[in-house]
Amino acid sequence: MAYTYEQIDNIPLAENYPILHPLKRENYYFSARYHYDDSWTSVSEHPLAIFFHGSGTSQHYSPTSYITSPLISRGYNVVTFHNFGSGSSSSSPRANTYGNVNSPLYFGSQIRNAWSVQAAIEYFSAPNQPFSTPFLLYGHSMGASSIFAWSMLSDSPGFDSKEKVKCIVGNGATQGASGNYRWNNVNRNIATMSQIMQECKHPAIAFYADADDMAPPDYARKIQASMPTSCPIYFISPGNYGHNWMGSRVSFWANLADDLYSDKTIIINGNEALLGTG
Amino acid sequence: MNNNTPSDAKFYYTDDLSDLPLNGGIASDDLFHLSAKEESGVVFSGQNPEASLPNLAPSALGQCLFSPATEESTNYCHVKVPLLSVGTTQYRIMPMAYINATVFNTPASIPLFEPVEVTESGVLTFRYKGKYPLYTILHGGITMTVRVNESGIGRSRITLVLIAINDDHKPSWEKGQNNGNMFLGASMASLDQAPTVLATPNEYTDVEPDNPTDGSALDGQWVRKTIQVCKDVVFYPETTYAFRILSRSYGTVSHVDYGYRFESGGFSCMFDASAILKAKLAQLKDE
Repeated sequence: MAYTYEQIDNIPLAENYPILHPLKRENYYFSARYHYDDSWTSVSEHPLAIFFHGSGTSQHYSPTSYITSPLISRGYNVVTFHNFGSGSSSSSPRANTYGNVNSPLYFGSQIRNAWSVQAAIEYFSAPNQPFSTPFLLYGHSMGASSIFAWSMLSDSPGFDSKEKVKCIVGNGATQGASGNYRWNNVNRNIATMSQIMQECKHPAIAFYADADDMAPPDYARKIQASMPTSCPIYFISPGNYGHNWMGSRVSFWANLADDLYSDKTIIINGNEALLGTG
Repeated sequence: MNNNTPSDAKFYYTDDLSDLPLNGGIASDDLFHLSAKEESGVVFSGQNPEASLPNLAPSALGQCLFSPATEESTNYCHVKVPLLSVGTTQYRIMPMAYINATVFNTPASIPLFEPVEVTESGVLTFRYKGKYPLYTILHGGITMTVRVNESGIGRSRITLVLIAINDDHKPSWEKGQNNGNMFLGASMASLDQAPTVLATPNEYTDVEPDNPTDGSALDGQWVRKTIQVCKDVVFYPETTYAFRILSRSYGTVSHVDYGYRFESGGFSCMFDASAILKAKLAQLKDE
């Protein structure tokens, strides 16, 4: 038994992605790695979890990394999907992208990343793929924002794939980074993320750590306070950790992700967690 | 069952947000003027957070911003302005970089509209989520550059129209000859300056620079248009709307989906936010 992977390059853009003039669709593509346990006899018997990375990620993940192995050990096929400019994906079709201080395209930037998530879902749910739907989506930082934005648009024309995903788990979802004077216009950031998370259409966990200086507690609470009564999101803190805590508490997030996917009650320190603002 | 939980892990709930009267609601850092708890108190008490939590929220005005994908918001890249097919008709739609409804005391957005159809990085159509019709006045204006053709002379009248994409929920008298279209303003072809090439294309940052392309989004002949808006409009529940760019051409004109660039501007309207706030307040008081 060993954890192993297959690398996939040249994943095409989403079918309905409106490529900008004069760019050519074929010049842009995504890359991913599919991680699994080589002792498994049937791929389709294991649910697929797709991970979307943060903005600082450049390299592909290994099957033993803290992102992949916790869910492989819980019986999931894991795909780590790379956005433009990361892994072995192509460069971005845009000159200025997520988080650019001088490019305050907040909501629009999230729409753009939702198209990337859509490309992953279309590719891995295609008839020639061995995976079963619905998928679990999980992500960190930019990747977390991306999957919430995708959920918002998942039943829109051109996306139409809401049923292919069961639930989503995101850590530190924000637009760029907002804390410690890193990047500008936190108020547009809050307006953007609050609207996106209000429109979340899947059961979800939004992790925001207490010492996250890119999505600090007051930022997360302002977004949480705006949630509607029908909010399907659990707002959960892993405790006094910073933005990049997922490697420090792998069992914590992996167990909760598995619980959410398996329709189990979400329990935090003996208490049943409540949705939205409770 | 999660048996490997850090001892300080927690989920956040109502008491962390607005247990009025406020105590201990100090912003945990200097990133915000108010903490989330203080902010909730201000919002739900009508800016009287020292008082007890009221049974009903006061009437509250909100303001909704429709912000097109303007040059500075896209860092001077274009956004696709497509022809959207609705039935047998095609409409040229102005994409919005965002639509943000606010109640002034918090940056968090109010769910007044939801995006329905999007382009690469903008909202094309949006659904009104209010329970009752919203009768309001749309204020604002847009300065845009329009590519009229590849070469030669052509003029184009641009009219901006707020249109309903689906009209299932509109009253029948809105489905007549006009189909409920709400004309907002126009820029006349007669007053066009002669179309011109973009004088300093290097001030734009269009498309990814490492990929050589066989063309440009900046070629052709362009004119600048300004449309000022101050019009009464109505939004019906569950109805989907869009900002249509309606063109009337004179001479040799060929519009393309990369040929509309929004230099600056936007639109806003007021709305009654009290229903949304009262529902939220009832939710908080139930805890």
